[in-house]
Amino acid sequence: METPYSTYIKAEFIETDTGNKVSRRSLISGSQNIVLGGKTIVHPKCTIRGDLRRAGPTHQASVLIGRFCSLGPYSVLRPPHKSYKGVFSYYPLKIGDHVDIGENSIIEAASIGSYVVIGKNCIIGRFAIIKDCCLIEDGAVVAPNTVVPPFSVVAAGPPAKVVSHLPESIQEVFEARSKDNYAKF
Amino acid sequence: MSSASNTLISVLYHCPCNGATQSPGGLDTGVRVNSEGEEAVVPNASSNSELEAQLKLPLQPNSELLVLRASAIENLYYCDDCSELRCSRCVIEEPAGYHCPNCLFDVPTASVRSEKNCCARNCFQCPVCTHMLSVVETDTETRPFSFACSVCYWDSREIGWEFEKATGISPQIEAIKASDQQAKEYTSLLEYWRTVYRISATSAPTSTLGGHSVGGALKSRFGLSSGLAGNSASTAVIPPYQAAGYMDTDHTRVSQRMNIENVDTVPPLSADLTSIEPQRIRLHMKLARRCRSCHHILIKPESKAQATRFKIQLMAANFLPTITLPNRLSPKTPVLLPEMPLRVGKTVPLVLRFANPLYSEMRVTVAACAPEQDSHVEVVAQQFVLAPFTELWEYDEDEDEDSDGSSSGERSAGRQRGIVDRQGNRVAIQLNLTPKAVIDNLTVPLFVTCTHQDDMDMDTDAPASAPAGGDSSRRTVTNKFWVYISLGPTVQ
Repeated sequence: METPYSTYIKAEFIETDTGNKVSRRSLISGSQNIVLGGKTIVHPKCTIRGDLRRAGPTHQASVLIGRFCSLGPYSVLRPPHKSYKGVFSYYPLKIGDHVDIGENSIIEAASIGSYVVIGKNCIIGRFAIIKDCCLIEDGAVVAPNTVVPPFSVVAAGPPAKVVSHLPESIQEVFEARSKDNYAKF
Repeated sequence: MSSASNTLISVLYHCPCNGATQSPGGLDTGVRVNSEGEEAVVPNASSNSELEAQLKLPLQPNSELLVLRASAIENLYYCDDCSELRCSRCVIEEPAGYHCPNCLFDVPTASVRSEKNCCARNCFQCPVCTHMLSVVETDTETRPFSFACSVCYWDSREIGWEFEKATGISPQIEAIKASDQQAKEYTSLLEYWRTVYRISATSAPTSTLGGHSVGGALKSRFGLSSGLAGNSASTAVIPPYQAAGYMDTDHTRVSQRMNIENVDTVPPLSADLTSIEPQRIRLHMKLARRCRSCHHILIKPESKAQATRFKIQLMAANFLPTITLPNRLSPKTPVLLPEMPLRVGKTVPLVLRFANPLYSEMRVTVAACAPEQDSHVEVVAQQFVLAPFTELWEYDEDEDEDSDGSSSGERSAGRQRGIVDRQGNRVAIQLNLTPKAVIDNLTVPLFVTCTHQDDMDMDTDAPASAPAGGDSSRRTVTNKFWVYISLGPTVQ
C-alpha cells in the first residue's frame, strides 16, 4: 500500500547537484531552456522539447519544472504554440512542484499547478491550465484551452470533464507521495 | 508510480455516525448504540482479552454499507472539541465563496443571486459537447468575433451569434436576443399582465376578492359575457392584448404539439441543433465544513478562488495514527507484504505500520475482532507506544535509510515482542493472519484505541483560576475507532 522501493542502474541516471535524477535514455532537446527544480526524476524515454521556444533576443526558459516532480517514461512535454495576429510563437510551459506525470502522457498545457497527479496515457491539450491539487485520471483527454479548477478529478475522453472533487487533505497526500517516491527511488 | 497492484489493499476507518444524526454517547461511555440493528458495545475493560471477547463489530466486513461508513483517512475530519472522528456524512457543509470554474473569478454573494448562479462574464458552454467556448476571431469584417468550441468545432455563427468586440459579450448577447421573435413576445406579454395587475389593484380596492377584477379583464379579452360576476362595475376598461409577433399559423403548430399521441414522428435532437443556444457556465462553490454536534468549524477555505490553502483545516490524519501496509522497511530488508492472493489456511504475517502525527506521545492498543468464519487474526503486539512527531525526523530519515544495516540492530535491541520495526514516530507491528474461507475481498476489522495527553490550554481567558499545580491544563484524550483492512481475494 505504501510505495515500493524502486531501484535503478546507477550509470543510467545523471544526478545533478540539486538532486535531480535525469535518465540518460531520456530525449531532452534544448536543455539550456529547461529548468528543473531540485529532486525531480526524469524517467527513461521521456521527451522534453526545450528547443521549441519563442524567438526572442533574451534567454528565456521554455520549460520550467518545479521540485519533487516525476516525469514518467515515454511522456512528452511540449510548450504550446499559437498563431496570434499572424505571428506564430511558442509559449512557456510551467509546471509546479510535486507533480507526477504518468507514462505515455502528452502534455502541451500552458501551465500546471502544484500537487497535481496526471495519469498514464493522458493528453493535455494546448493552453490548458491545470490549477493546484488536481487529479487527472488515466486516459483522460483534456481539451485545449480548458481550465481545470483546484481540487477536481478529471476523467474520460474528449473533452475530459470534472467528475468529482478531492478532499482537502489531498495536498499533503500528494506531497508525501512525491517525497516518498523520490526517497525510495 | 505503480499502484495498480495495490489497488485492492486499503485501510478504511469507520465513522460511527448515523449519517443524519449523531450517535448518542459514542463509543467512549459504553452506551449501546443502535445503528440499524447493529450494536457496538465497548465496556471499560482493563485487559485486552476481555475487550476482545466483548467487542462487537459495528458493521460486518462484507456489508455493503462499508462503502458509505468507512473511508480512507484522507477523507475524514476530526473535531478537536468533541475529540471525535468525523466523516463527510456527519459534517454540515456551508458555502464559503463562489467562483466560476472557467475564469476562476470570485463572484460576490450578492451577484450570485442576481445572475442565477451563472458566470456573468464571457463563460459559455458549447451546446453540442458542453465544453467551454472561447472567443475567436473570424474572417468577416463586420462583427469579427464569435464563439468557437475547440473540441467539436462548433461555431456560434451557426446560430447567428457574432460580436463586434471580444470583451463585454454579455450586453452584445442581450442585444441579439432582444431582436428575437419569441423574446419580444414574452416581454410584451409580461408588460401587458403587469399593467392589468396594476390597474386591477388600484381600481377595485373594496372588492373582497381581487380575482374578480382580474376576471373582468379576462372577460374583456375573450369577449365573454359579463353576467358571471356581479360586482365588477368599477373595473376600468383594459384594451385587449395586441400580439407583438403572434401569427395564426403558430396556433396550429402549438395545438399539434400539445395533442401528440404518437412519438414516432418526433424528429431527433440533432435535427434541431440550429436553435440550441450556448448556456452560461454555472458557478462552483467553495465549502466550509462544521461539526454537526458542536458546530465547530473543521474546514475553512480561503475565499480567493485560486487559493488552495485553508484557514482552518482539521483533518483526521493530523490527529489519528495513520495505518499503512508497508512494502518493505528499507531497500535491503525483504518484502513484507504477503503474497497475493492469500491462501486459505496458510498463516501469513501481516505487518502494519502506525504513524503518530501528534507532538506528544501516543499509546495505542490494537484488538482484533472475535474469530469469525472469514479469517482468524492474532495480534502479537497489543499495546505499544508511539513516539511524538518531530520535523527533525524527516531529515534524519534519509540518513537512516542509507545506514540501515547498523542501526536496525540497535533498534531491535529493546523491542517488544511483535514489534517489527520502530523508526521515529512510526512503529510496524506484526499480526498473524489465517484466512479461513474463499471470499472475494478479505476484510480484517481491527479495533484501535489511542490515548495521548493534550497539552493545550483549554481556557486562555481564565487566568484567575489557573491551578497552582499546572497539571490540570492537560487532559487525556482517547480515541477509539474501527479499522477495516481490505486485502483482496483469497483462494484455496
